[in-house]
Amino acid sequence: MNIFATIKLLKKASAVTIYTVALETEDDQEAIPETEKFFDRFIDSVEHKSDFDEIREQIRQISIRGLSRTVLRFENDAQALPAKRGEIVTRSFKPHPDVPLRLYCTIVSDEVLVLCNGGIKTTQRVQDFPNVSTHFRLANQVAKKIKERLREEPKPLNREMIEAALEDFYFSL
Amino acid sequence: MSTNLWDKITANIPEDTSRKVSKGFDITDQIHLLLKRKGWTQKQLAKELGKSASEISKWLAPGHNFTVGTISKLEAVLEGDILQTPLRHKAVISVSEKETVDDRYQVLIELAESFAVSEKEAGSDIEVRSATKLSPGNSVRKDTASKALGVKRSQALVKKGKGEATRDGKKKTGKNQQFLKK
Repeated sequence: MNIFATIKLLKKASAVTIYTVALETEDDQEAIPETEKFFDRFIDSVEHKSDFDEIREQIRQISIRGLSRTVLRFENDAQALPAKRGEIVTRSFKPHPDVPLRLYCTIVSDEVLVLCNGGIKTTQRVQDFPNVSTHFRLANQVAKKIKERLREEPKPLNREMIEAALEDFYFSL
Repeated sequence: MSTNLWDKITANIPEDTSRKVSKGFDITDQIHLLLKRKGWTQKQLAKELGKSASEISKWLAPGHNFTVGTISKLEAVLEGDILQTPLRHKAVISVSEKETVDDRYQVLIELAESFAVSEKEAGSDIEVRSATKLSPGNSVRKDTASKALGVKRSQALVKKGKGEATRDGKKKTGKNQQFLKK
């Protein structure tokens, strides 16, 4: 059975346009954006409050500063290559590499970001933790679908063109 | 343009968290700028510091808590400032912008007053380190003052106590206003 998703605008800020993704529900009720689910899960958490607040502030700072110089563009593992210009990648917001709270996202360009969902990563490999790997997989699927969508657009792509392509972008996972 | 969800996500973030994250971004931005100026990669920086590349990568990740020691090491190898306090910045910029010796001393006085530090502490920010105490009866060596103020030795004034210095040595109104004329 296919699951359908919609890209929804979260914030058009000075430096970055930020979206989230909403998955269709079986009962046809309005889909709750994945980022809102993450927010609702951790907003009242005492244990993770400071980490959660840091992730929120990181997102807010990026909305002002943009993505080009941010470390989100780079993996913490020095062996991995940084995202090349024009490459759509999955990354995560985290207060610190050693802190397990993660919010996964898709970097579409230096000016366009899609926030997904996340959770607590308790193992080294995200694939080993079922709950978080679901969100990691979703972010990867979103990245893949957006890549396919943008392949249809003339190059070079600018921010406005990407925004137009993503407006209410509806796809199956 | 903002949505309700955005407002919800970014509402009520504690002030200290905002400052911490913002400063972290500022620091990594500054490090990247200095790396670019030197034409270095992160790997080269790691090599210069005798660290592993992954350790440098962790330093530059959001949330890393730099110590003053680490910042200082980075500043030394990158040959530039990463952190500068408002007092130091104001002293350096304010003094460099002033044209006359009088104005530059006035800046030091204002800085000392506004930050409730001694004149000597304010002056030390512009490298008048070898100055004797700025108290009545003592004086700053003219060559030290001239170097610090960027003027010729012949133009430097020796100042005693608080108040304005003048070139002709005339007394100004106010307390402790005695000046030694060159």
